[in-house]
Amino acid sequence: MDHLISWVIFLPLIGAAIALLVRDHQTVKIITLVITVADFLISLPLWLGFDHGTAAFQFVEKAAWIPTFHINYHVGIDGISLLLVIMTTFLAPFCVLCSWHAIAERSREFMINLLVMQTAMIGVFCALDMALFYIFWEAMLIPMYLIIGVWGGVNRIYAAVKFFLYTLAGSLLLLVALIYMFFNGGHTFDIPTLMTVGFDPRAQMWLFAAMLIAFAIKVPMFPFHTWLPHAHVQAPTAGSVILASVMLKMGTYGFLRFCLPMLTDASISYTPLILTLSVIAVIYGAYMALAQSDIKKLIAYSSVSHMGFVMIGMFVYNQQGIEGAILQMINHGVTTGALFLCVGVIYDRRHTREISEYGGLAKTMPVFCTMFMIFTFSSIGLPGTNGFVGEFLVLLGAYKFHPLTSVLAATGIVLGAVYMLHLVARMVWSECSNPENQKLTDLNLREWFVLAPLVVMVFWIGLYPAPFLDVMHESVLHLLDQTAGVAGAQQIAMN
Amino acid sequence: MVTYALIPLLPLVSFIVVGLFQKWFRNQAHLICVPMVFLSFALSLTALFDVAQGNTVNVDFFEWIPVGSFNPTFGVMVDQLTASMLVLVTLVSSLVHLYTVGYMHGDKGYDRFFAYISLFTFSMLVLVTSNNFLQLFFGWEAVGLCSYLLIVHWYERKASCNASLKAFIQNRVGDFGFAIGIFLIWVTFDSVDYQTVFAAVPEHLDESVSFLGWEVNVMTMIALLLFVGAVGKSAQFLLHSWLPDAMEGPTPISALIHAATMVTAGIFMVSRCHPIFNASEVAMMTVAIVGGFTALFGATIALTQNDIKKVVAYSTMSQLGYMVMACGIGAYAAGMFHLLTHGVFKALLFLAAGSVIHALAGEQDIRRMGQAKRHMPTTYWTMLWGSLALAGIFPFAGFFSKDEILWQAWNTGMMGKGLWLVGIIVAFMTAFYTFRVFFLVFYGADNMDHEVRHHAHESPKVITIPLVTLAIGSLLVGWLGQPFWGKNPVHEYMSPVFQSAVSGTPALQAHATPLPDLVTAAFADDDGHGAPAAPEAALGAEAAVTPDAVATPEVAMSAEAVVTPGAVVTPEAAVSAEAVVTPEAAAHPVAAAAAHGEEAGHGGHDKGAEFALMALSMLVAVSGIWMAHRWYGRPSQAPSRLAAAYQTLYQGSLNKWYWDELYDAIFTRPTLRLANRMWRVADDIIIDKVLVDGVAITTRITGEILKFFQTGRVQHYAMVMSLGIFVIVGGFFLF
Amino acid sequence: MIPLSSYVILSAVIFFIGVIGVVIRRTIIVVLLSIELMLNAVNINFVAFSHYLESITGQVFVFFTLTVAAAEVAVGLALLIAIYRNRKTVNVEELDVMKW
Repeated sequence: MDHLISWVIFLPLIGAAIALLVRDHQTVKIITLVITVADFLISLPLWLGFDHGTAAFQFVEKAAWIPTFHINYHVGIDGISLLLVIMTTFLAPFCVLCSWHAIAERSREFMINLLVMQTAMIGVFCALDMALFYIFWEAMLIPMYLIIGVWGGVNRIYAAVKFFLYTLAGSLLLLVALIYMFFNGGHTFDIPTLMTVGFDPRAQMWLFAAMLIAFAIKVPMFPFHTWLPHAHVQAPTAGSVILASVMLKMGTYGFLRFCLPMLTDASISYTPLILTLSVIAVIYGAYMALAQSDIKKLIAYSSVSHMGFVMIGMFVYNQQGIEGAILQMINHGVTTGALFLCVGVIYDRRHTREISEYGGLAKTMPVFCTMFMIFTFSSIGLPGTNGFVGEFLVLLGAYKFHPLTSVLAATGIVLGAVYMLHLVARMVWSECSNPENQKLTDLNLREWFVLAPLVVMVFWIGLYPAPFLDVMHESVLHLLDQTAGVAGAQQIAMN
Repeated sequence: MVTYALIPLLPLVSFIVVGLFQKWFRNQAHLICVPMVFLSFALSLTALFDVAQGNTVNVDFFEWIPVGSFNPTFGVMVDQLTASMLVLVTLVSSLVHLYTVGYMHGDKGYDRFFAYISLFTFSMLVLVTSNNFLQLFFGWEAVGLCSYLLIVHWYERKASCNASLKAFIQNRVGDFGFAIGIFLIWVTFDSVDYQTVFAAVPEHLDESVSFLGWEVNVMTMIALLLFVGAVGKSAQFLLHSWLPDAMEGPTPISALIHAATMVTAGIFMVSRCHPIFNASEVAMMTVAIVGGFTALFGATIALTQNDIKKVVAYSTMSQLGYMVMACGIGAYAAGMFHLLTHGVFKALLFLAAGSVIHALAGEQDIRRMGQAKRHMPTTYWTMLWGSLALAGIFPFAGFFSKDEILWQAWNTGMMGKGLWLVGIIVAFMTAFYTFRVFFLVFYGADNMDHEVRHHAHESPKVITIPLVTLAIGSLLVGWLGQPFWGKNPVHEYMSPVFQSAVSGTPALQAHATPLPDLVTAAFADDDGHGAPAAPEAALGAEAAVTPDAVATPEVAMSAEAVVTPGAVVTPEAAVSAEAVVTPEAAAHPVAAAAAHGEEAGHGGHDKGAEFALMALSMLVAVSGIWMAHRWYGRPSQAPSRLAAAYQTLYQGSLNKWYWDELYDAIFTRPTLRLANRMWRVADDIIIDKVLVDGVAITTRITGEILKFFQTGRVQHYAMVMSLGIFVIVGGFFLF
Repeated sequence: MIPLSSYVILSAVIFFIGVIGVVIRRTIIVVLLSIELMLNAVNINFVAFSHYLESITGQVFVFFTLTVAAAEVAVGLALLIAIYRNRKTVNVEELDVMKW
């Protein structure tokens, strides 16, 4: 099929247009589900047809869009973005399914929001033109803002505004950086071209600072993380899933796409800062998670910790670290998304997120608990689950680059076990004393279909990650080539 | 090859089938789990004999995480070490499976329990059959997971939840060190494959890494980091307190996981990585001291505990200390031998204790037992055999393996002598507390509740059959390592592993044998004419390099290494040995000949000393039993009078030397408090409210002030506008 | 001969009278008158400079200004009537709907 990527990007938007014409809520849900599943299916050929042997962008499409400003419609994927695209399309149907009954009011508008957002998210990962990237990047904010602000919890307005303004403030700095790069990089927004420019090292420092703030807010890195717990707690389940699984990855993806290849000198200079902040994030996030009494907040803080691992992996300049980081993005998407889906399952039944309200769920909801435990173990990086592969590679790469970073970050794994199993002990085990919990029903078929594929993914990536790693080898090696010369010198300086 | 892969896979199959279709089994899960694990056991036996003929196997099945030069695989390696572990694990697992049928009968989680012990068996087998460090780590954490899931089997009990959490987290702390050890291995050797790494050890002996500013030898660092993992998994001192708590799980689990198999993984790992440990004196000393201390520490606590399972648990900890100590002095074969015999008799003790608990309706406090002999004769006899084995009474298993370790310790320099002393004290305590329990349960005053006594009964056949099997085992298995005549069969079997080309010499013995490879060479050279047959080359090297060392007891160690001749030499060991021996031995032909004569007399002397030490330890053990009998065999005031006289010591031992309280005070509670404080103050107030919301609030306040300038009256705007013009025009004129 | 500066000063004075009128008077009608005053101050300047520079352009501009001023008065008065109908007042102090 020609224009495969464009179809993958815009099919959800077409779906949204169709859904606008339909009045009936039930029909819209079905349309949305069909569209998201179809989008996943047509995105699979991207993976299957992906050429492992090259680092070049593939499935590229390019057309002039705003010639006056040299802005093109230029999309394509490489080994870094491929898996993120697949993950986005893979998770979308689950977001629709988990909102099937949970979103009772204005479900039609909700579904339309989901579809619009999906287009924007896939667009971000595929865009090879900075202006296009920026447009998708900002476009994504609006549906998310609406999802939190309209369908969220009690404190939704505060959370939505905070989310929107915080990320927008960062994005504006990104815009400034992009415009500077346009004028100093030969009047082009073309990403592959800009990778070859080589900006002035002093300018790079400023550009990196601007991008650092923009992406750090999105990741979120310590200390820019405080919007996340609010947004997660207030967002409906589907919103939390998208937020955790896909939107957080945009920040780390930005670092990989812009900072490392385009601003190599500055990346090296900022490495100590980033590694320090990330190690703090890993440990700090874990500590924060330990103190939470709200399940969603706990998982939100665990995201801060896990994303710290991703950040570390990217800035250690070796194959193990970066591939681990990319895989960890996917893992975090699958696992944390799944954990939020699990929270959604019990929230639909009890309408509370307080951990103390639960207890002894193993008795009444054994299937649910089994799945929840699997995701928990994936989250704490038990070998055999996906979390292990990513975290281990990241720490391994980090050890090679700077052992102390790795050792400190590895304490996060111990703490991870502490907070997650503490949660499990309070929620899944212990006595089922609350009468409300004694009459809970186990997973229904719809929920089973939502969680089971994610369980499969957990073990697939955990036991046989080769298909996922194979596609990124060349791109990562190419990325390392782009950063190699300077990185080697820096490593000596750091040790 | 494929059959070897089946050994771990069969339990996995039963786990998957039972796990997925749990609802359909309706308490019949044993129908699939028990046959599968017995089949595994049968295959393990074939592996044992296959390997004895020198057919070791090492295959990779598929690449697990291929990223650049980091390329761990899933594979199977079966050598002598693995084969013996395979047999132990599958044997104990089979018997525990069988026992579980009776013990867990009627439990709500019957099928779940079977699924998890199958998963555990699989994980443990993956651990022992691994051929690289990452697969080892996979099994390592997976057994921890199973342990966690099984401890929390009765999840409604608060104590089970806490114990499971504690077990997992303490193990994670150990795994943290273990993982970093693997990182360092990979960074140093650029591989995580056993064979590649071990073969490359000599090339990296003098490298060092910086650790918090110190330059540490890389082998020492790796060995210590790996040992942190072993400390966690084998409940050694500092990470030990989870093991007694783990007794909250059902008794079959205590027998299988927390006595016979999982907790011995640390010893297995150290033995497996002996080329690395051998290369570092510091690490070996640490291992030996930690092991010795744990042995003593566990034994002192076991003396006063009143929960039957806790006593056995602390004795496990103490015995694990023995094994670790054996590894520390380089007597890996002895450590592994004790691991095997301990696996058998400790599983027996746990299962017998379980049988008692089962018969007494869940009663675990030995102060409320007594005179149980007449209710349950089979349990009585099997427990007696197990206790004799643990106490180290000839001819039971513990006697052989424990004395082997003590003998090896005696022969390892001054430190070894100290460790020997610790060992002999521990042996006394072991005999005492083991029989304290035994007498309190089966003799002594009848303190059972009336209700309980009424229902006391012998356990069903599914419970007693494993007991009898293990009891016979604990009588016989020790003879595998008999030291009396000919060659010690266990040493002989294990020698291809521990004296292979890559083994090196245990660092603590390196004083005595500075040319490690020559020991190997000698061993390969020896034609197997029995112990007195002189191992020329080895002692030749010995004499040539440190002539005066011949007279010291240390030399006995090298003699010991040589006593195990090369009947089962694997091809590669032979080849490499030849390669080494030719130039070196040729260099000292005269010395070799001279040493020959020395050795003949020396060997005889050593046998005499060994028997003397055996007699001594027997004496010690018997006196321990005698003391237990005097105090507990019939009602006696002596224990309570002693406890009153040494209140501090008694309370310390009874309260596990307050270690739980200490950890609670320095780790658990401060961590939770810090987390809470940090969240409320640092995160919520400083970062979120002050900094982030601060920006928003500043913006709003600025707006609040500026809004007064917007009156909505055109005239105000016009005035401000004209004032602006004045200012601009005025400024223009002025400047 | 009256110097150019006199015209400019006259124009400035009239302009400021207009500005002050706009700023301080409360009736819209007077405000409109003041605006007319300011426009005519500008017209004086135009004519004066036109004569001084001997260029007809300035005088042409005056015609434009007069036309615009006439139109403005027409629109302004129409608005004024509309406002009066709505609010029953022509007091600018009470017309503060530009603040929301």
